[in-house]
Amino acid sequence: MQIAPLLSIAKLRIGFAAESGRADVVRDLDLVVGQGETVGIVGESGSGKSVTALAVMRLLPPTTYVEAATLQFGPHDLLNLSHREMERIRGKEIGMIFQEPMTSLNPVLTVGEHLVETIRRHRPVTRRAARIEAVELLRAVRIPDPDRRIDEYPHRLSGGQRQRVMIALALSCRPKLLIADEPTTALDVTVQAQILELLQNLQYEFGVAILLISHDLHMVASIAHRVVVMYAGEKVEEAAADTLFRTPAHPYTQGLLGATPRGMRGDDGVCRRLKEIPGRVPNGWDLPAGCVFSPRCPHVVERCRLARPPLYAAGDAAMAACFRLETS
Amino acid sequence: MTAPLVVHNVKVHFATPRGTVRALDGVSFSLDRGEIVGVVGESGCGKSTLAKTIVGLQRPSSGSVEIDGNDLLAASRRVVLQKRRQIQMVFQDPFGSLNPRLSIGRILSEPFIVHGLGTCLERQQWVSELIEQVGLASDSLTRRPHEFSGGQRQRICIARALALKPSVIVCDEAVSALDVSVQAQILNLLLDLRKSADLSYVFISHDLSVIHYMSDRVMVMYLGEVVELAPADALWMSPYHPYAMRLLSAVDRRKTAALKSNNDEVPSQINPPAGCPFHPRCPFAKNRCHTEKPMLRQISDRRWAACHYAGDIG
Repeated sequence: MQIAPLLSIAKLRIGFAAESGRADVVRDLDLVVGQGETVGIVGESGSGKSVTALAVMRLLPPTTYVEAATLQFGPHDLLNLSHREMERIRGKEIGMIFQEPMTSLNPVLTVGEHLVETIRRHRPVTRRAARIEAVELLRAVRIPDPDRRIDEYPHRLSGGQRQRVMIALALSCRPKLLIADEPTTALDVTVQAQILELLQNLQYEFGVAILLISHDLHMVASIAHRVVVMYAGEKVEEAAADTLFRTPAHPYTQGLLGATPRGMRGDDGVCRRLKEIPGRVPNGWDLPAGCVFSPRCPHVVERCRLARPPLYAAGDAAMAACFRLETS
Repeated sequence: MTAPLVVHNVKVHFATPRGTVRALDGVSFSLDRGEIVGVVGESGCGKSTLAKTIVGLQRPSSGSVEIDGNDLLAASRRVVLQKRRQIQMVFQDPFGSLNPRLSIGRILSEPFIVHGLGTCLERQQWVSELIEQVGLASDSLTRRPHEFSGGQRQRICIARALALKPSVIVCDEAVSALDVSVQAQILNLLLDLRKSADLSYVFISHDLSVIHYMSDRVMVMYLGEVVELAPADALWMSPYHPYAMRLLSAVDRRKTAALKSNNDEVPSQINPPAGCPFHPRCPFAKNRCHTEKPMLRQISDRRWAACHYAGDIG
């Protein structure tokens, strides 16, 4: 499936100043999101998934180093836009929803005020027209009784409804790309399923591309077309969601799947022991030489400790950064 | 042989200006030796209140918590102190549950000091055994909590819980703050300790796949009440209560279609709905459910559910 790229990132490097010089928390990341496509980024804490999203939005503090060969969104070169130009893209062309629906809304503004402010910030419409649009948006995100709920303050809404309002806000200017950073992590499982379904339906209705970021491989795979697995700031594998589950190529992805309790209990009730990944994720300022996963990898050989493996093709439009794929 | 933990008709009610919140409303269950009972439910269903009540951090409004056959609410202070050792807790947040100013060695010897056990030398010996038992190096004892990762801190919390050789450990979201790869290490450790230290667990989590993996029996809670209690595999195969169906279908998205309900808000705990508390969200609700509250009843061997139509729907 060849889709026109909407967001293309090449050789992205993000660094923070650290005690010992500079800690690069994302290194040489290539990522493409096509129009209307859902791409998932999966990784544990410290994998660099959230800073990548913030770098695309240019929301990182000015002391951060952000370098890239390409950081192109549609016709815009995001690295070289002025602040004013970036403000026009943020919220209008790219919407973003965060993990914490409690703190992302302003407690002294009503739901309607949030929506009207966002709509009028980017488009020359009257307050009244914006309000009508806001009600429609609340309806689109399946908030019951939107004519009444629009005048509620955020504290009157449940966590799931707040996240719906956040999605409505993010979609209010019909962005081409929606970045969702752990959108369901703070929610109960029943609500989680509804929000995911909502995202999927809205993608269909609005034709928006989604960059979905999460630590939960199963959640991401349930709605993403393509999944990128990140480890310690690097992309270690990229594949179609079902390929990733059927034939994970990188030892880290295999490790993650083996460590997930889901499905590890057979129908006979016997618990298969979870596979541990020994050790822990390295810090950005203390990276191992060679492959970043080598200290924890069960298949490690001498070569892994010396050189960093490039991304090799791993069958069906998939790639993984592991020397074991070189011969195949 | 008595069960290490019996919870009988425990109620915890909080008086608030807007009315009484029934955080727990008549919860009963028992934990067998070596058993793991998982507790699931949405936020606000009373999972954590139950954990706190079991370990004695929250006094129930009525009902009893029996440890080794002793009702702790009726017992004398001396018996309470003695029996408290039998039951320990591991909390969700390994960052917030360790005192940052104390060394690990001191943190681990505190339970012995509180209960006046052993001499200084004996305690040192016990503490190094403990740290080894949870898979940390013995040089950890001189270090402080900030020097450890989340998974290692959770190991320290487990070591502390093991100190007094309890028979029951209550894990309240003990692995929820951890990354998947580290979570697997802790789950494996807990399962190993069940055998080697002869433990039973009350295992609370919002993560259904973790609950399914760990539990022998699962208790599903809704608005402070138990709505279903069943062996884990039986529950996953065929849940009886519509709320349990709803929860499980949320994980397995293939099954969701049949269980759609427009109203999916958790009702207020101050004014719970009349009749069955789940009826506003239940796709199978009939007239009877609006007026008559279903009691938890035995449906089949080892399976209990609080639904008028358990076994006939789904």
